[in-house]
Amino acid sequence: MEFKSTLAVKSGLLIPRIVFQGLESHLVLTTNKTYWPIVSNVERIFYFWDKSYKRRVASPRLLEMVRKTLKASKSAPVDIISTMPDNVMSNILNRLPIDCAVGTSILSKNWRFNWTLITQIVFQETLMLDWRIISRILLHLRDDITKIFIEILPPPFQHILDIEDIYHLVLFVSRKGIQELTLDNKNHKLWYWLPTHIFSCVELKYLELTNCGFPSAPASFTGFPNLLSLKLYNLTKFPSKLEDLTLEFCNCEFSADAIVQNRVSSVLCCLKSLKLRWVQFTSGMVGSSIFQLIFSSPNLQTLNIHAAYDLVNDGPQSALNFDFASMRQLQLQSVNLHCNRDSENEVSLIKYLLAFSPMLKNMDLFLVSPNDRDHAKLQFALKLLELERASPIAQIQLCG
Amino acid sequence: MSSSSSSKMIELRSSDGETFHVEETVVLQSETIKQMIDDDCANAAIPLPNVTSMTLAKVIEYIKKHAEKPKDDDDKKVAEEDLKKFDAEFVKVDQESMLFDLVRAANYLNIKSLLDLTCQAVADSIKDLSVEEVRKKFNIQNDFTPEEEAKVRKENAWAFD
Repeated sequence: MEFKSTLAVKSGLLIPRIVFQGLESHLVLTTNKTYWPIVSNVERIFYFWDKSYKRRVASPRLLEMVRKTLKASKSAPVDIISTMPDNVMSNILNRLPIDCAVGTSILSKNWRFNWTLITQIVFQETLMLDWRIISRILLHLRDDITKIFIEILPPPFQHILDIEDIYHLVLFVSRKGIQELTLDNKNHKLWYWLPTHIFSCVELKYLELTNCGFPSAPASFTGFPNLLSLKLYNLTKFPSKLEDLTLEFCNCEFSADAIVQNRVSSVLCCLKSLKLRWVQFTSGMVGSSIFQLIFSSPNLQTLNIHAAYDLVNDGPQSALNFDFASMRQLQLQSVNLHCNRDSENEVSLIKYLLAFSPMLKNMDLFLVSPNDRDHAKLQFALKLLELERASPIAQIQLCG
Repeated sequence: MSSSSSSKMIELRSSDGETFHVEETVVLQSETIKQMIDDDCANAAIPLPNVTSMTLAKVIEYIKKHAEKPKDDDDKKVAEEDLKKFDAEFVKVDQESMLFDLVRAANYLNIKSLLDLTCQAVADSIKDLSVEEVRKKFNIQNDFTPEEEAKVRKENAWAFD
């Protein structure tokens, strides 16, 4: 149990370090109770000594010293916030915008380096921070960096951060126990490959990437064991503990290819919520991959799909290539589909979702079609009625 | 868990000697107390030397509210909304010192959600203030000389624009 002398100063109790060491050793000697392992501030020891273990711990001289210092601390005006333990200080500072957190350095001498306790940073590029400032901030930080959010804006704000900077950043945070990483690249002309250092970030719980490529993992990479949420606008491997997944397929040939190569081979046992955007159902390959993704997620509860459709230019569809015999029951409760009523692949998705979801409560269908006559709508509604439903309570809502 | 286990009461004693009886299932939100219970150290009243009766009453109000379990999914949404409203009201305390007492208590008792909530409230109360206003609010003595202050300002000039 190591005691930091700064804690004494912080609490306004200017006790010689020797006293702490005395108390500390008594503490260790007199108790084997495990519920006092977090001796993180001075008051706790005082009490401990004062109330519960008085006789065993304190010598009269120690007692007198502690009393005096306690009295002294009460008479001076107290800067409440500075007496907070480091973890609380860091928790508060983490919740301030980065400029505000760094700005606290001007408050007083005590506060000058308090901001270096932060562990989470949001760099919004509107702050116009260049890499020089960002790297300086990062180098100042005392502890691990658990969360980084970086925004890269389109022109005229671009080039404050370039791809090299992102590489350095990922490398740096990969050694700092990063848990939440968001690289929000809003500059569509700046597409880049994520550096492979990302595979060293094994603590990752939340990863959100926009507009970048995910490199092939090294053979030694076994996944992100702690990942809970992955939001990608480019496709990659699916970690096994994933609970929430959003995929966007806009202008993203790469991602579609990746799925098609049967990347969804493992079962996504923990996945509860799946959102898919810009799915091109006209391609049977993409459609099949979506089937595979859904039916590899036995615990999926919420499904939300926006299909990409071009009513004028969409050519004929290529057929699904999916092993329908491999389908198993789903736990789906809520489905929300925006799709083309005339697309066979989409209708077949609706059909199988209804047939394999005994827990389904509601399915909301937002349909578009070049054939917008009432008759066609009625035909479709009738077709829906014919479909077998596994859930006796499923409500289907037709919009559009 | 059987329902009978929820009726076990834990006794907490505040710094000013007042005792509170709280259901074990409720009080388990405190990691510190959970650890004590796991170690079988909670048979007598648990002393909480850092927490006054006033603060402890507030903390118990919070953990009781957060221990309520919604019956079904529809109820869940309503309950979530309700909890958000409760949290927002909860941190609207009359005195600033009460908020800090709550921060301290949440940290000491290791109740993460309460610590996050109260720290957020502190951060919210600071973020739109000027340096001078923050100093005044938290009783911070500016012990920089004008030269030193100018130097610190220069070091992180971007943050003061």
